[in-house]
Amino acid sequence: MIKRIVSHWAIPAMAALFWLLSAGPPAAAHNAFPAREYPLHLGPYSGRALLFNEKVNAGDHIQILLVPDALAKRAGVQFQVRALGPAGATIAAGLAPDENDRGNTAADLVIPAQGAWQIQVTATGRTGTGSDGFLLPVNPAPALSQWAGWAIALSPLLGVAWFALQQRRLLRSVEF
Amino acid sequence: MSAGSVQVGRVVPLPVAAEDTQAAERRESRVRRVLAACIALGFGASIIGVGWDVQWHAAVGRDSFFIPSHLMLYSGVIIAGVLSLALVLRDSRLWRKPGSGVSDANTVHVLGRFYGPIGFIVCGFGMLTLLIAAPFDNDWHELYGIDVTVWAAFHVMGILGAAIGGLGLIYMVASEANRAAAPRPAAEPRPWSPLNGLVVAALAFLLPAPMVLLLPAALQWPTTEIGPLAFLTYPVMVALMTPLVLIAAVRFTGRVGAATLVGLLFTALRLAMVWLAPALTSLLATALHETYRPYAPEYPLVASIYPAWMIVGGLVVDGVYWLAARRSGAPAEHSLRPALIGGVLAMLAMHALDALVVMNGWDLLWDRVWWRPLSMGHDPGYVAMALTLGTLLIVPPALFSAWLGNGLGTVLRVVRQ
Repeated sequence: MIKRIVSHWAIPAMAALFWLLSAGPPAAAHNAFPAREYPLHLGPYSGRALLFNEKVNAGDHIQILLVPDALAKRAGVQFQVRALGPAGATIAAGLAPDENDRGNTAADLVIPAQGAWQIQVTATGRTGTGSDGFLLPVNPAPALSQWAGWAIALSPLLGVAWFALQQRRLLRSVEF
Repeated sequence: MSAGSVQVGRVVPLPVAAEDTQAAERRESRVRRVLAACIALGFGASIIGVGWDVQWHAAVGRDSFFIPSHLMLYSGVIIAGVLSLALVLRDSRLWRKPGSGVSDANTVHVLGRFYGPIGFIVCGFGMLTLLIAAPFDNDWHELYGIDVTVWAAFHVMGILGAAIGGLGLIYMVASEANRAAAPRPAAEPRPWSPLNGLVVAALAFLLPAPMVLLLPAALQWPTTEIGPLAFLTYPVMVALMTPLVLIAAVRFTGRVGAATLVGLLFTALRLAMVWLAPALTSLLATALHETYRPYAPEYPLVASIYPAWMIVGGLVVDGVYWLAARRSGAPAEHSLRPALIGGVLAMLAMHALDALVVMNGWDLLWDRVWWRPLSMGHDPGYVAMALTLGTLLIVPPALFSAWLGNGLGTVLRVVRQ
């Protein structure tokens, strides 16, 4: 009974689990170590913007963590993040509380075109509003897309699947 | 001994004396064991190289492909890959010579004209995967920078290659252990011979490479959030990898104690990495006048994400097998039930200790803070939900991993090629 359940449902259950893991939106997450740090002077508040992408390409998810200082946290600041493009384009970032520290804000931004973009951070709280920003150079989109990269990277799994099938046949031929 | 007589333009092999064949097979076995030992040393260098490399990336940076940790990592890969390829080419030639000690009894047939031991073929495939991943990975770093996450396409490809190579090493040693001993009934325990011990050791050292994938689960995405729900990512991933080796060890040896031995060996490796990775990084950074990055970790990065309680997991698995054998009055190693129960209970025990200790940011073994405590920055309700759901979600991957481990252990008992 147990054997039947596990051997029949193991692979679909694992596929569901992987889907679950990949479905978790990484918008509020970021790499372990920031690549750059920018001080922010936002009117009555101050803080830091941590950039987790060392190189930014057009189409990449840009991860910025906004860390308000203690005063700004007490004032309950809310952030807005926008990217101002060289041709006048404006893109608003998706914001979420940081997964590791709810007092910080994680911004997720996709810039579609190369060029020098200005990242503008606006903080609004009980003691007023203030803005600051920093310049972000964006490279052209890479020739090898993320999808193509993953397709190449996971291709050895075909060999693993073939090997697993061979071993399963061997296992069935063993009478224990 | 190879011999033939010419008969109307056709070579007809003469029968070869059985003792000559046995001597040739023994010679072939010796060659395979020497090469397997060299490959194991190469893997050892690569495992240390990976730990050092991750530490170097985080502490100093990835200034070029030819950083010392990469050279150590890839030298091990090249040793393993070249030796695997050499043996397969040699065996493909010898297979055609009767009495050479290479036959269908100790090789498998692949890609039309190649013959070789399955372990060397699998290992060669893994090393090829890793070597193909290397230039792509270098390109990826140039595109996305030095801080590309471990869950990037060509990191995953490289880790997949290393895991395949590790599996190949296990098959190499298991087939040697099986051919060295007379066939025995399935449930009969194997003796603690050096070869059987090496299979258990190879199982313990299968984990360090794929466990590098745990880094983001511990440091970047400690919780996975789906709508209003959140669960711990790390223990779910540990449960996918760990029971496999613990169960396979007991299943292969047919002995209670094998899973604990895997736990001990893994922990020994973990302790070595705790010391080696920061020490090598510091030593070389000083020698090369490199400066540390602003957020350089002071703790051993890779070792911090290796499960701290593998010995406990091994003890639980062995305990379940021991109880099953006592209850049935017969060896229980061939039954799937203790494998599944043991796998799940081991993971729950390890997770309970992790939840109390590591998930709170420190490790009892080292008495220092490694991870950011989950309780910091989250309200207690969120922490409780992540812990509870994380605990429940351990069960499916633990069952899957235990099932795979039971299958792997069974195959390892019989593989002779």
